[in-house]
Amino acid sequence: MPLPAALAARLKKRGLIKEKENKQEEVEEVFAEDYDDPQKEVVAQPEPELPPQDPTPIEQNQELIFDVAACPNRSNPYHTCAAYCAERWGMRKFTASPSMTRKRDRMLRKFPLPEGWEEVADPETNRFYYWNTLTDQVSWLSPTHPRAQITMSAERLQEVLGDTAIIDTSQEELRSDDEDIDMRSDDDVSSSSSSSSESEDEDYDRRRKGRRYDDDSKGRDRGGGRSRGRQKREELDPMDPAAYSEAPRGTWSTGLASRGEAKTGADVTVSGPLFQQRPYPSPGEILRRNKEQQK
Amino acid sequence: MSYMLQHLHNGWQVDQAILAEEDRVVVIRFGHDWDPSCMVMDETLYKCAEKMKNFAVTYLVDITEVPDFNKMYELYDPCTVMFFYRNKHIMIDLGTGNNNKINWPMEDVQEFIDIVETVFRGARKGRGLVVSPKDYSTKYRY
Repeated sequence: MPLPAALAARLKKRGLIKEKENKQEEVEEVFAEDYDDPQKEVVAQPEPELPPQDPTPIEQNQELIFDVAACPNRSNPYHTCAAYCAERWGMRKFTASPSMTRKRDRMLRKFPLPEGWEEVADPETNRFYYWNTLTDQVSWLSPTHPRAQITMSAERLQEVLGDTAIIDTSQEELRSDDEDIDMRSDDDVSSSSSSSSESEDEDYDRRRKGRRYDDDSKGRDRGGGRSRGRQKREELDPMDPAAYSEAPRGTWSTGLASRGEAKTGADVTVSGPLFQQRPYPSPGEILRRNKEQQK
Repeated sequence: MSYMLQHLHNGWQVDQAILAEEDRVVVIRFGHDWDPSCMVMDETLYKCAEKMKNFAVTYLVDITEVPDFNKMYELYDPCTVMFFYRNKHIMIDLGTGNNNKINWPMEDVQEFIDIVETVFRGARKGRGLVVSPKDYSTKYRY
């Protein structure tokens, strides 16, 4: 069975694969083909110290780091970071906050990583995620964690499915986000007495963050504008009936009067002294309207 | 229960009953025959039907059997009487605030005949809104 491209590249970097010179080149070519034509010659030049942006984590002082350039164009949907970005803007720094590290340690103590999984630092969220070197799957939580969602990475998904996948998944995530919130409140109620409520909390927090990042990484090739729009949509107006009652969240046209959907036959738009002078339509007219409405 | 007043059993019959009257007011009672307030109203209607046969015709409609108009005519009172003339709804200013219909049972036969006559006279002149000879607002009652 041939090794996955990501793993081959990584093993190559570690110096574990030496004889597969041609495979490495093949991998490089696959990446080069993704770029647009004008950028092609830039990328095609072999630059050993500045490899093209590779979604494979690289190793830095005993830690795997998912390296991304600190490129301001990452929010541009038509921009793909090339070697130049890394050269011009440098790489993002990964800084692990002590509280995050503490929580991660606690989680790893509870749910140790199985065989084939590696911890990878993500400089964009300053968090660790977990990467299966064999199947190239990723997870924000330890894969043994009951709530872990093991998926393909956002980059891979986008490569395979293209733009359509992004829209679909983002909608799905919206829904699942809501479900999570419900789930969480249930959990809080059930586990409020148990000692694990804190860890549940932190797991939840972690997952939320991770998901947000997931969205971001999926959407980052499409534009920050979209994700900002989504954020706006997530905010619920406190005056919205959906915020304080069982009413479902409406869309733009919800509640607008549509044709043939009168509450009464009387002209409800009149006001003032005319208010009491609202004749009803004739029975024939009503029958006609009813029939129209049934269509 | 009134056996002498004609019932209309579907929306089409209601429509045709009103369209068929050339120069008489059509009085339609919406309600249920079993309703006590409707029984009172039907009794009044029956008593005056003969007296006003020259300028008005009376029909009964069961709002459960014919639900077509319930929404549009806002028929949520146990007993509602509405007037039509030449396929046009005629409003009466009864002083109650609701000019569209009589939504309480009337016991006085003469009062009802007066109202129908006023409706007929006004509608013949092309009025869509006539003023009832008696004010039925509650302010005189208390």
